Amino acid sequence: MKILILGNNLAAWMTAKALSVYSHFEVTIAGKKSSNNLPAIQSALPYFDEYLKLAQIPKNEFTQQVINQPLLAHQVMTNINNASQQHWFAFSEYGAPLGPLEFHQAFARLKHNRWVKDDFCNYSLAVLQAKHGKYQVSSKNPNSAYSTYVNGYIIDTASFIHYLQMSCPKVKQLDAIPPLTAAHDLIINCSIAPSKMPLTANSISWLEPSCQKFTGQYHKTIEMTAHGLLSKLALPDNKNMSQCQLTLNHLPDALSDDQTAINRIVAQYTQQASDIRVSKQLTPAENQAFYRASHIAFDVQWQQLKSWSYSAIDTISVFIVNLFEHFPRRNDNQKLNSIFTEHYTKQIQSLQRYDQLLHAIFSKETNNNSINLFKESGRILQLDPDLIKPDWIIGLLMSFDIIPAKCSPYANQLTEAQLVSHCEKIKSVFNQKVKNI
Amino acid sequence: MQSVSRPKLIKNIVILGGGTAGWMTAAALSKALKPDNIQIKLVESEQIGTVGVGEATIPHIRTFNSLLGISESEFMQATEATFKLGIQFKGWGNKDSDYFHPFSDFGEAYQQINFQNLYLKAKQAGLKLPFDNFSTAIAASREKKFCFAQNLPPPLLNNYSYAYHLNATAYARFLRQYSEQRGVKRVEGKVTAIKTKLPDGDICSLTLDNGKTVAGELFIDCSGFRALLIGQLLKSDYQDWSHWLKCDSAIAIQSPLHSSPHPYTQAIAHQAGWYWHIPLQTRCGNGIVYSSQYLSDQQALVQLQAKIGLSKNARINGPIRFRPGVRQRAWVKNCIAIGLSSGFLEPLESTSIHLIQASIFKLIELMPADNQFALARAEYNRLINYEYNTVRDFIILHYYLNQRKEAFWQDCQSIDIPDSLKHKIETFKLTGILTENQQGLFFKPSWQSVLFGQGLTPKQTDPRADLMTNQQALDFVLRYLDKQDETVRQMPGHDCWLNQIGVMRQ
Ligand SMILES: Cc1cc2nc3c(=O)[nH]c(=O)nc-3n(C[C@H](O)[C@H](O)[C@H](O)COP(=O)(O)OP(=O)(O)OC[C@H]3O[C@@H](n4cnc5c(N)ncnc54)[C@H](O)[C@@H]3O)c2cc1C
Repeated sequence: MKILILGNNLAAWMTAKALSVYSHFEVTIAGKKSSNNLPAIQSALPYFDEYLKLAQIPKNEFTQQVINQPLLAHQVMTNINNASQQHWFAFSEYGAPLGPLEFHQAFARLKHNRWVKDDFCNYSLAVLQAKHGKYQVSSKNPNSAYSTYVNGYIIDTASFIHYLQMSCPKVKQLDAIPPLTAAHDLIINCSIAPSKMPLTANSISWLEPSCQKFTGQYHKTIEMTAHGLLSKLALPDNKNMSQCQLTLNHLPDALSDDQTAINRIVAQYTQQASDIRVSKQLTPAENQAFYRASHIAFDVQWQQLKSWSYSAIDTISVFIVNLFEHFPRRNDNQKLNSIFTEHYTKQIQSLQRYDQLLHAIFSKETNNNSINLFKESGRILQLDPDLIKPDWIIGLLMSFDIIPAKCSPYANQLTEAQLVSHCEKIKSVFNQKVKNI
Repeated sequence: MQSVSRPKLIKNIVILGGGTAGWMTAAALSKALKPDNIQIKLVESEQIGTVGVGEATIPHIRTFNSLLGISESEFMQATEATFKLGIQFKGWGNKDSDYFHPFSDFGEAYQQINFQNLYLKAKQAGLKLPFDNFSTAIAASREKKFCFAQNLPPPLLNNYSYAYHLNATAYARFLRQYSEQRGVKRVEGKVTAIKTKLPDGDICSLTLDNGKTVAGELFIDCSGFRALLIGQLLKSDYQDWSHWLKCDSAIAIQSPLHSSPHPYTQAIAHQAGWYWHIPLQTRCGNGIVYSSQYLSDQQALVQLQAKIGLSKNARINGPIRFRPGVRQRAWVKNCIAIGLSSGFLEPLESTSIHLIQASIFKLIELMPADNQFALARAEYNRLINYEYNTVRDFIILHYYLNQRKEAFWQDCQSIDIPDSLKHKIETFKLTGILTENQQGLFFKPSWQSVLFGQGLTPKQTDPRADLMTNQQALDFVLRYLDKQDETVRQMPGHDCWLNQIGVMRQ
């Protein structure tokens, strides 16, 4: 089967690598090398493991050959000058349940009655590790405390592309896009030009020298600024540079093409910025991947969705996993188009819901279903599919002191002393574990 | 509407009904809640009794039992349970078809290519065996063999799960004992009046024929088809699915067990519905499900008696009438319907007990502390509807996809099925792809078993499968079959296993 991938970019190479598992596929990548406006350093959600599995990339090979680091947690600073206004959350469970009583409900009861002064995040083994700059691979053994979390990744984009290129030598490369004839059984277009719809500036990214504290850390920092959320990622091997990304609340269209105005905004955050880029996007609802029997198009804009929580690597991973689940047939009569689009869009929407949560917290939105249900019942809205685990959402909400308004009936039947002792036990186990790492 | 009055703590939960739903709910709640904090009462009427059927389960019941901390052997002895590896469907599709829906995957994947594709390629190289030959659970079923998968050492296959056949009345009795030990108060009596209060119309108490009053802040309606609270009082709309599912009646008869029990349920199609056959340790549960439009009650009874070779003296339960469908909202005001009161889908895939269990788990998750629970209630209703809808499509599939000639079956073929199902069937037919959600009950292997079993073979395979030639695919599936044969060869007989692990009722 002959497969032509248009666009010599990250999406193209990630796709080619996954296809190269099947030696009977003849894969060609066509197009000039394009950075696709991607940041030098990106984060990836734990979902990235699905891609690694699909592309049969062993984790240790990835770790050794790509400049990357595990991402355990997020640290949000609502006031950069006030250390007490830090909010940590992780890809983890928190504490441990007591029978039917979920840990956050036990914690909420103690919080209501002021029995705990501690932060909820300190009951996550992942957060504790991130705070101490430590990392232990999570365990598959459900009885181990190390099974309570998973990790995402901080990835050097160029190094990842380089690895992909090196590890699939059989993929042919063409500089120019050949005429799209019947010579190819399948065309995957990863470079379609942005649609004619107006684009709005969605984020500004730049590199800046990393302050010591970012180097070698297993978390992403996010600052709440007047312009929007400013997230920072750093990799120790990356020339000590931090990748900064300012996801904008709003930027007038006129300003987005005015480099001086952009530089002025960036100057408010650093004097030493390099590689300043503005990324423009369609509104998410208008972004789509197209799927036709033998021609699949993956909009570049869609690949580059920017958020504090997910990155191009995540949207590309979702695209590829879905592509493989609904692998095109020679004659599909458009059936797969709607299935693929529905699944893919729903999964991306689940990422967007997670993204929106932080915005909703900052803007004190009152009509966010997830937040309201959580406040009333301590439960997380169960939507299908959801790539974000309920525990991660609970961690995010609780870190901002959004706690169930009422005590759970299961919490009411235990004494406060019992709950406190449970919390203390967990804390001491977790602290000991972190110490031993 | 959320109550505007001051929140009132829930201190008393009243369960109406002591069938499988009522006692499962009582048991699970009594495990989760302490009686000195929230008191649970269960009202039931011996005079009315229970529906007295519901003996085939799916593997999820094991999660329920283990959350309750119930020992498997104690449970099996108490309920005369046998093991179940799947369901045999005879005469569905066409009159001669005979396939299984197993609690296992089919074959094994190669380089992440689903086995189905390798099977289809092997067929092109001359393989004649049906798809359902490639399942350990099915192969063991056909040989009447069983053991726990974890007892099979590698390289034997352990890719299957299991459920039980059980005596429903004994299960309710078993759970009653469990619940009463944990503080649940059983109240005998027939509800004759229901008191509600203003301004919200919440139920506040039940009055019984013996003069007793049972009050509470939260009511669980497990009153069976009567749906006394959710239907008769609160008038929660019923989504009627009888235009998709034509059967509306059933008759059940128990019979002695004549040979050792087989580890699977049988669903055997007849001219206007189907028979079930469920072997327990010492007896069988049998029944006929039919459409009263196509078959009279009298004829159905005669057919069933002839089928199981029983005299006319055997105790007959039925005809039981039902209307397939679901309550638009299973939770209305302060009343939650669980079991037959919340909806009904015929027992073709043994899903009712699972739906009870799913409702209980969702309730436990969303259990309110007081009477202000509007959002939790909306979420509960959304989730329960989702569960019922996924089961509904799967049941309809069995009827729709048939090549039988009788009027009933011909009419089933021309049903205007739900769009969700239509799309699923057409996509499978053309591409072999089966879409899957994260939640819900039935996953790919379940759909594959019925689609292949009832004669639908996809036209195309995944191009990734061309990594192998057809001949290589044939070799691959035959190698798998060898492993499977060896596995089943080493498994003990189902009856031996029941004896060996000591669960046979003395
Ligand atoms: C023909 C048939 C076959 C089935 N087979 C299966 C199967 O194989 N697998 C499966 O999972 N499910 C099966 N089911 C479904 C299963 O039987 C039910 O889901 C299960 O028994 C639960 O029933 P229930 O407790 O809701 O109702 P019931 O068993 O009817 O219990 C209702 C209770 O409410 C009480 N009650 C009613 N009115 C009053 C009143 N006024 N006052 C006081 N008490 C009252 C009754 O006394 C009784 O205790 C089958 C159902 C049918 C009809």
